[in-house]
Parts: sequence; C-alpha cells; structure tokens
Amino acid sequence: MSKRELTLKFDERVYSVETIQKAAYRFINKFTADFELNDREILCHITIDSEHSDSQLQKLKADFKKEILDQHLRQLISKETEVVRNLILSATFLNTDLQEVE
Amino acid sequence: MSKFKELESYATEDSSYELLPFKFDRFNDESYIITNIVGEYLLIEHEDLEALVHRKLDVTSRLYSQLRSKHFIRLPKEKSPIEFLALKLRTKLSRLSQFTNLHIFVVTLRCDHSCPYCQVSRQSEDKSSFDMTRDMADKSLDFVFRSPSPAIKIEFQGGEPLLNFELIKYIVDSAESRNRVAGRDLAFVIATTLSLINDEILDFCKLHKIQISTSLDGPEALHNSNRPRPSKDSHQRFVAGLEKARDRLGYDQISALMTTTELSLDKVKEIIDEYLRLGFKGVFLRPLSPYGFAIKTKRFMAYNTERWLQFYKSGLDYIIELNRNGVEFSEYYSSLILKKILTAQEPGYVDLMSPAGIGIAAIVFNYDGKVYASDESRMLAEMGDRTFELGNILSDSYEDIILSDKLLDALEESFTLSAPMCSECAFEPYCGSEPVYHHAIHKDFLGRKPESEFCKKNMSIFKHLITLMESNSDTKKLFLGWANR
Repeated sequence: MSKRELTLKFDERVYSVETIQKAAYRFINKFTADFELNDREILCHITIDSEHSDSQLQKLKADFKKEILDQHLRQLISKETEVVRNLILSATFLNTDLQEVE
Repeated sequence: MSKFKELESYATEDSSYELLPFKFDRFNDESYIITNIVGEYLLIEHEDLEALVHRKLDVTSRLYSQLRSKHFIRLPKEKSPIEFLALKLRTKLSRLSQFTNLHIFVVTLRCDHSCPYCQVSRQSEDKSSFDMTRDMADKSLDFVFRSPSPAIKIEFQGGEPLLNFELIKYIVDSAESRNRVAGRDLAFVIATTLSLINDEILDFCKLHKIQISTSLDGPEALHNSNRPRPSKDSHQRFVAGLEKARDRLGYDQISALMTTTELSLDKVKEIIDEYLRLGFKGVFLRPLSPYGFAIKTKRFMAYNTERWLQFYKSGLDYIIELNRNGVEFSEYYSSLILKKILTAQEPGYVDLMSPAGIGIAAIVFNYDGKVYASDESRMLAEMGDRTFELGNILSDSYEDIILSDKLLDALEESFTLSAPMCSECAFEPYCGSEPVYHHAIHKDFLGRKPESEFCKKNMSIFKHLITLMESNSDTKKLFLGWANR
C-alpha cells in the first residue's frame, strides 16, 4: 500500500521532544512518526496510509496538535505536583507493612 | 440585621491555591475528565482546565469548591488534603500486603459438555490422564496456607469438577483440618454446570458451606446451542440442578456467569429476562476471551469489541429501565468498575488491577501439577504459550513460585503507573494491566495501548458509565447503590 508523508515543525523553545513523542505515541495506531532536530526546530515526519482523504488528514493533524497541547499541560502539572505526590505516597506507606525496613 | 457575615468575610486573605496531583483526558468534544490520585473525578471544560492550571480560577465559583472538596487543589500548605488522599490510597492498596486470596484447584479436565468456545475441557473417560492426584492436592494446600491473606477462597474448576468429586471432598476435609490451626477465613466454591449435581453432593456442600458458581448463557435454545451435551439437555439439567441446589443450600448460595457468543449478540434482553425468570439478582455481561478453543474454533473472532460494546450498552440500558420500573437487578462488571470510580474500595477483580492480579490475587493449581498465574494463564498454556507457567507443585517450593522471575517480571513490566500512555491516562485509577491478555494478543506484557482492544473496551465502558451518571441523577443514585454493595 502506498503512503503519504507530511512534516510538522515545532519550536524547541516552546515544546520538548518528549512532549511531541508522547503525543505521537497516542496515534501509533494511525500513523508512524520520525523525529529530527534542526537548529531550534523539531521536525516531526509523519507517514500515513494513502487511503486517507485530505480532510481526514487535516483532521488527524489537528487532533495531533491538540494532543501536543494536552501533553504540554500534563508535563506542567506533573512537574508542579511532583513534591506533593511524593508527600502523599510517603504518608500512604508510613507505618505499613509495605514500607521496606532498612 | 443578618445573622451571618457576608460571603467575602469568609474568604482567606490569600486567594492562591496549590495543585494536587491529577491527570486529565478528553472526555468528549465539549469536556475533559480530570481524576486525582485516588480516582475521584470531575468533568470540566477546556477553558476551566487551563484556568485551573494557570491559577486563574474564580475562588468564589462552584468549580473552585468542587475542586477543593474532591482534592484537586489545596490552600497553600494545607495539610488535611494530603492526609485524606493518603488514607484513601492506603485503603485502595491495602490488599497488596495480603496477597493471594483466590486459589483455583483444577481437579479434572474431563467434562460432560463440549462447548465450542471452551478453553480447556476434554471429553475423555481416561481419569489418570486428566485428574489431579491426592499428592498434588496436598502440596497445593501446603502452598495455600503459606499465603499471608487472612481470607482464603478455594475454588474448584474443571472441565466439570464434579466428575472428580472424591478429590473435592478430600481437599475440603484436609483444608478444614489445617484451618483449625491456621484460623483463616476459609471459603469454598465449586464452578459447575450443575448437570451432575445430586443429593450426596448437595449434602456435602451444605455441611461445608460450599457455594456454587454456575453458567447460564440465556434462554433454552441459546444455552443449549452454546453448551452442547450429547443428550441436548444442558438447559433442562441446569434449571433442575438450580432448583435442587437452592432448595438445599439457600437461594443466595448459587451465582451464575454467562458467556457472550455471536448468537447472544442480538438477544441481550432475552438473556436478562431469563436471569430474572430464574430469580437471579444480576448478570455479568462478559465477552469471550481470546484463549484456547475460542481461538481454535474462531469463535473469538466472530464479533469485535465494538459489537460487544453495543451488546453491553443495550443490556445496561435495559437493566436501568428495569430498575426504574421497580425491578432490582444489577450488572456485575459495571458494579466492579463503579466501586472503583465512586468509592475508596478496591474490588480486587483480577482483570482490573495494577499491579496485575496474576499470582497475587489468584493462582491456579492445574490437574497435572503445574502452577499458573491465573485461570487465563492455563488457557494460554493450552495454546502452547507457557509464559505464565510458574512451576510445578510437586517439585517447586512456595518461594520458587511466588518469587519467580516469570511472575515478578510480568507484574513489574505491566504496572500501569509506569506503562506508556497508562501512566498519564485519566482512567488509570479504574483500569488494570492484564498482562495475560496482552501477551495472548500482542506477545508482550503491555501491548501498545492505542492498538489494544482491552484498552478500547474498558475506556468505552468507563466513559459510558460516567456519561450515564452525569446525565441522570436517578441513574447516579442507582450506580451508587451498586458501587456500595
């Protein structure tokens, strides 16, 4: 089956490669993605089956970009709540048999 | 003069707040779902999610109060939300330190039925080839009583376990004798089609408080088609056996499970009506598993996840309608999930646990001495995949089996909090890892979640149950009842 390819460009100062990779993983059943760094640009090369119409392709591209925004927000939340998450976990396992005794 | 001060008087001087850990996902075109570390949820719009993260929430808004009360945010340095979340999380995880409650003894593989979707059974008179021996049973009981769990359930499975009833009697007597010293909360279940039940068996069950778990696939024609016997009387025998067992053991000592074949798909109302007609209080709508004869006979491929979801959703709609009309009836898979969504309890259902339930929620002693990590694991082994065969009860110790790399690697590698996509999925607190299913289909413990039918099925169910609750307060009340049972 023949394939269609497109390349999306992202500014490295705005998004991390990890953010875009995580977003691409969620689309693994729809397309494959390769990544390339070019100066301050992250190039995301997408390969998809050619049976997709132009409108389907545009929809996929829009959904992927929305997912990148979501992933970016997830990273902000995860980073900001890391300390309190560890605090909750340490309070959870305090004085339980699940805590490893040194 | 008003008895109370104005609302503003109660506002804290500092209107800032801190985020508590939470995850989010798109719920539908309009809204997002956010869930916290213990699975409490809220549906919010995208603008509100942005405002929440960027500290732009109106502190007098209803959403702000909801977020505080459900522990998505706290006032700076406020301690009680941390303590509440830790307490709920500890409750959810408490069963981990008391692992392996369910011990399945496959006392024989012989069976009087020849169901085309059955994963394991054999039509054979050759007892020596397919029956568990007393030596294996003794060694298995040694293993059972090494479990740290205060509650132990021994379930007899087959084939048709009643074809080796002598061994069941031996195991029950031996376990009770050991338990006089061990003092566990010991319970027994026989999983049987009821076709061979008789007075002698029922007297023994009554004496030892043994519960019966049986199979009912629907009305007579459907049941007989799914569960063929040479005399074509499976349903007739089931009904007669059910009546007899209820008379002798009590109404609530017998539960039933159904299996969905392609013949069931447009008969969900008839199936539920049959359960009602026969006096059951609920039904467990479950799809075929991708194991054993179900694959060999291509039954598993006869319908896809989407078709099964249609079947499940129609059934659930019908059950909700029945309840609205005053008929008390529940769907058990939904109830398990609702317990996870609406309470701090963990129901301990093997397929929906993380760490996975294999080995630590249930373990299987097979008729040939082999020990498997779950019922599905032995079915997978029947197909030639021995990934979850943990050892042999005759030659391996408790430590060899429970600390085996085979078990620990599968548990560790499938852990949802570190699995790609699962770790950041808002539905993760309600889900599980199911390494056996993923190994059967994808040949690794995790699978790729966007391609996983397990993921598709459960995500759809989570969303559907939440949508039903959010759109109708009576349904929410009904679901709260199911969750708290």
